[in-house]
Amino acid sequence: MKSKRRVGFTLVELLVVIAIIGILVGLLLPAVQAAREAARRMQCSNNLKQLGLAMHNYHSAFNKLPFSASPQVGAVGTRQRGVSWIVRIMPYIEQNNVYSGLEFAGDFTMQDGPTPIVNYNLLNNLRVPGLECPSSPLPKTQTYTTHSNGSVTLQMINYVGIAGSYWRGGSTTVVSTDPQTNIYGIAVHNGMITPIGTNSRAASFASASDGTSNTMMIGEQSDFFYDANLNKIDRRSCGWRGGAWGNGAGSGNWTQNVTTVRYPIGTFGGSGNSNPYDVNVALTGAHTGGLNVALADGSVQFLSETIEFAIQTALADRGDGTPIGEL
Amino acid sequence: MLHIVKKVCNISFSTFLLSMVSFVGCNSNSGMSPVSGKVTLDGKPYANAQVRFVPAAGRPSIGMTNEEGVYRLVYIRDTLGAAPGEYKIDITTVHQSSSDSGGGKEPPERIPPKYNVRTELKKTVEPGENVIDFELVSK
Repeated sequence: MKSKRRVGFTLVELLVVIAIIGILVGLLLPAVQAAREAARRMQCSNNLKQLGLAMHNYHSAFNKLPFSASPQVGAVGTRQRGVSWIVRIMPYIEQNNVYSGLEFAGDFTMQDGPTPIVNYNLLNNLRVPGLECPSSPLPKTQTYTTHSNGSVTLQMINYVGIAGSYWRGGSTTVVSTDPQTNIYGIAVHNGMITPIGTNSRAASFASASDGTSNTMMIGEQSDFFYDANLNKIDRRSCGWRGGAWGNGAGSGNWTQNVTTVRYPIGTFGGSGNSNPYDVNVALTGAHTGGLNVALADGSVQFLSETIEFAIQTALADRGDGTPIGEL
Repeated sequence: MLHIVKKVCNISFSTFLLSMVSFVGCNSNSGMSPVSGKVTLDGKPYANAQVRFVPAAGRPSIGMTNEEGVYRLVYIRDTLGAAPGEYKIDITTVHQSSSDSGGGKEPPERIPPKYNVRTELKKTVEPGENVIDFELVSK
């Protein structure tokens, strides 16, 4: 008997192979996505590490941490609003060419007073990739019309300085001493990146009596908030005129690029937590389950977004005396 | 030969089913109980109040009242509610800023301190839907 078998696959065999491949791909795809997100989180954590190192280098040079804001100078139309702490650490994040060209007497909101053309030219379209969290879905720039130089495109970033905690560190109900109340919220300057003005000075590592490994210096605002109707909105602290480079109207007024912790991670609304120029905008992360923060000792920690709120306030307050333990 | 193919078919089909089931299993809910209610001050609905439920441990849930004085607690992002348990509540007025308010002082608080800085309000959130109203009196 001679079998007349044809060489090749039957339809069933082919289907089985396709099904198996399909299942394998189905199993692999989520793993690949997770690995990509893990890589982005590591990139973000490295960005914060570099910023933490820049703060240490700044401190070595000046014996102080960079201050976040100084009071505005001048009347409407000729206002000068100063630079953010990000500009002050530019020489330490390889942006010395920009830094050395800037004129610090200009209006860094670029909207309320004349801006020297040299500042406009240096900051327009400037993008520093290390200030962006790769996981963030938020816009990278904003464009608006300036006071004196036409339209400008400025970078919006995902990292925000911690000015302090409205609640005394380790508490969620007791208010810190010396709260500075105004219509933009309530600022307390017991953190690491503080403004200079009538009631505040720049902080130093020596002033972190809790210890630099128990105090956070820089946090993330890299995701959307949700408004009362649960629509996504972008209200991070750099999201107003001046972008990452402006400090707002300064201490005792609205400030940008810093926040005083008053609300838990990922919450929106309430006094001081509704607009980018408010002083109590919450932290929020685009990573699964939380966000990265740079502690004052230069290390980077991942904070779970459902972290005990008392621990978050204790981290933000540099001198509360509350033990923190494991994060 | 054919029965081997059948077996393989069976195995792959059941694997497929299993993975579908595990995908569905990921859609678990957050364990939060929805909490809403109405805030009145001296009998009138109080708009723009912030209602904060503070647990002894964990993170507070926060809600703002609308024009009718109705709030809805948010735990985090778009997750509503609060975990079942005991809460201390503080209620404050929300002041909205505009980009050029000029840095003036925050207007004085109309809600008495016994509802916020020295709060005596305590409530329990039960599993399932909760409606918790607050009838505040200014005297």
